[in-house]
Amino acid sequence: MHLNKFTYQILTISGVPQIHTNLLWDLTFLFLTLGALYFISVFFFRNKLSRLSLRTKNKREELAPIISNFLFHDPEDSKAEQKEYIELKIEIREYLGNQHFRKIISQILHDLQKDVAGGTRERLFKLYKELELHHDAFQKLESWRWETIAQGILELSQMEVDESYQLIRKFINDRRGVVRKQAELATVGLRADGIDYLLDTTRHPISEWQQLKLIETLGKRSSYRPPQFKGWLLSQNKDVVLFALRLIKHYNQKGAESSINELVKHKNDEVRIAAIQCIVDFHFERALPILQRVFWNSSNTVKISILNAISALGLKKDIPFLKEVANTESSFIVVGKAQSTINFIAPETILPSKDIIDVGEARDRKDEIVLETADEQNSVKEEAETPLSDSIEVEDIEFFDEIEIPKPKEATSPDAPFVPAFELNEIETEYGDSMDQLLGLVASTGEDSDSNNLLENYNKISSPEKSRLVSKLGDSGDGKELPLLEHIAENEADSELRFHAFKKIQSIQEDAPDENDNHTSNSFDLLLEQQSVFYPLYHYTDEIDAKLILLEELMTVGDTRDLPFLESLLLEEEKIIVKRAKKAINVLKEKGEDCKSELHHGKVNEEDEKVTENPGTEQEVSFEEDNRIPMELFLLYEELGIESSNGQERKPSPFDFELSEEFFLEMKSDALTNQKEVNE
Amino acid sequence: MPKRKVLLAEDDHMLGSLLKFRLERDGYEVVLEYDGKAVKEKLQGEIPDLVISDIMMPYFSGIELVDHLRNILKSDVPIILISAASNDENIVSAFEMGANDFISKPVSPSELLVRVSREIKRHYCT
Repeated sequence: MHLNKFTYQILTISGVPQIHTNLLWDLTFLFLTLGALYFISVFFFRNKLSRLSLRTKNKREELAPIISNFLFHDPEDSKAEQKEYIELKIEIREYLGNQHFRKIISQILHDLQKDVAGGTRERLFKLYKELELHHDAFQKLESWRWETIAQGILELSQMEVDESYQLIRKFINDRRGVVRKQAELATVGLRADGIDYLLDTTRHPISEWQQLKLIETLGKRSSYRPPQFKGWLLSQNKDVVLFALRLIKHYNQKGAESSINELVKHKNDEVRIAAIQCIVDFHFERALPILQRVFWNSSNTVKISILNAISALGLKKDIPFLKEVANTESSFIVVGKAQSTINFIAPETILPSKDIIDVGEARDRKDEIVLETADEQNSVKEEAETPLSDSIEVEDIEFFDEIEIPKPKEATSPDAPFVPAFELNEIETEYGDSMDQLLGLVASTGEDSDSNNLLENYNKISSPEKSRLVSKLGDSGDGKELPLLEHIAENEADSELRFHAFKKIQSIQEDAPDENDNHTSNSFDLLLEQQSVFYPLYHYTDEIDAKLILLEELMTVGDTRDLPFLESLLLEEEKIIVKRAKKAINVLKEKGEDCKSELHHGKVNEEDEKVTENPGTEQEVSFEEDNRIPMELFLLYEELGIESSNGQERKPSPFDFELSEEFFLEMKSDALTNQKEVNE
Repeated sequence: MPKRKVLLAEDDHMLGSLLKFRLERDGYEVVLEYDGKAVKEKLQGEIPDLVISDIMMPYFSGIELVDHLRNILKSDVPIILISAASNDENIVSAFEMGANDFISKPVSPSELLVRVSREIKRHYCT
């Protein structure tokens, strides 16, 4: 039995609870009723509000013409209109007993004052007071709700109810911020002395936004005469001081200079900065010494403001102070500002020093760049010459501290082409006068003496100087140096110098006037003719093959004297002739060098012997030697039937052809052996 | 002399009523409409002698109304625009679209009357 009961209880817990069905139905009805009540109440209140809104709207539309009639009523209107006005006034008085109506009409007037201006607005304020709607606003001021009080203050101030001034100004130090701000605006807006009262009595901060709104409210007042706001610079409330400074600036009250100058010593940084700004705006230059004294005990923000003021008002006499600031201040912001201020007063006094590369360093860097380029070039060359593994890395080359200017190379051999490594102008300045004196170009009396002096002096100078001289000669373009050039072209041992002389002569001939053309060309041809026996032969025929044969012969029988002729052939149009001429020049140059080396060995003995054998005929022998032609050429002349090249009759000479040195040596040895035999 | 017809478009009922009352007192026949759509419908039927319109209106702004009058209806009726936003952009665009005059809020009804009178004289009496 007990077991069955227990089991039943267990089953009731684990299964559906046994709740009475009536209770469930009661709960259902209860919740349905609550839901219905909720929706009905929502509907009811919504409907009520809508109806109220509609009624208000209708009432507004109904009242609109009445208010318009009141506003635009004119005592001079017609009697019917006057009557209508009186009836409307009575009607509206009856309505004024209704609170809702008062609220509506108050709201209408409040909205309208925003949209209308001029006389209509004035009449609207008058109507508001006539209907005694301002009493409702007074009641709002007594409310304990801050929003109602604020609304009442706003309404009274906007409808310009002057009587509310005493009531509103009590809220200036209200603990509720919204009420306080509304009261401040209303106090300032309602009466001209409202600002005085506000500045005298307010104990709370006045925000920047509020300050601007107060200034705007003051600005709306017609014929407003602001008080001297410097009186409030002594206020204990720093916000009042700040607002007074703002008002001083706004109304341009410059009479407060001394007070403002003293304010830079204020304990509050905000006041200091505002005073400094005021000083800048009013251009109070007398404040500068005070600012400089105050500077050292100020915060960085104030210091920057002071420096700004100095940059605006300062003169050059303030620069020492600024330099002191720049040198002693620890804050880099202040130092930077001081430096910029110095530059503002005296531009370009302090030049940028940070992140500026030193000039020396820059030069070194430039050198490095040049070196790198040179190294790259070297490495490229070496890579071409040597294996890649042997190439020098650019990083390894560190010994190039400086780049030396390459010195002009001196010609190592007389045959090496002379390349001037300097400008002619430098030569002119360097050697000009001395060279001219040396060559007798200065203070000469006659052309003959000139040429003689030139020739004498030319023979005295060394070979490098001769090279320079030849380079320099002919640059003047006149024919004064032509005899010397011709002399060089004829008599100079160095073929390069001779060639340069020819070139100079050519250039002078090209530059010279036409009347001298024939003379110079003739002289040039004459020079070539005198220099080389192959010249007339070359021009004897027009056939290229014959000319080539002649050049072949020249290579075998010619000597260095034929070089100018051959070099003149380099300008020929026929390439094959130019090529052959080049070949001949090379062959003759090699031959000339061999002869020189051979002659150098036996020159001394030979000359001694010549002098001892024919002491008086040295010049004649040399002249004859110059006029001699080789035997092979003699035979060639004979074959072609050509006379003497220079047109002169050939003198009979003991040696009409050239004999080799071996022949002379053999002759000499034979003579010696013969003499020995005779002696024995 | 017949009354000049003025179409006044102002969404603020009170101000509209006030201006209408003032204009009617001065001898104008005023039709007051509260939104741009109603004004447009009214203009389809009859072009008034002068249009006074607020720039900020529901459905159609005053500037669109000017454009509609000038470019679609090809009417040269004088138009005076009223706006609380007296920024340069509004004024310039209103005049560019073909408005004849502009008044900023708050409106002085006396000033409006002078301007209306001047525009009507300029348009119809010259």
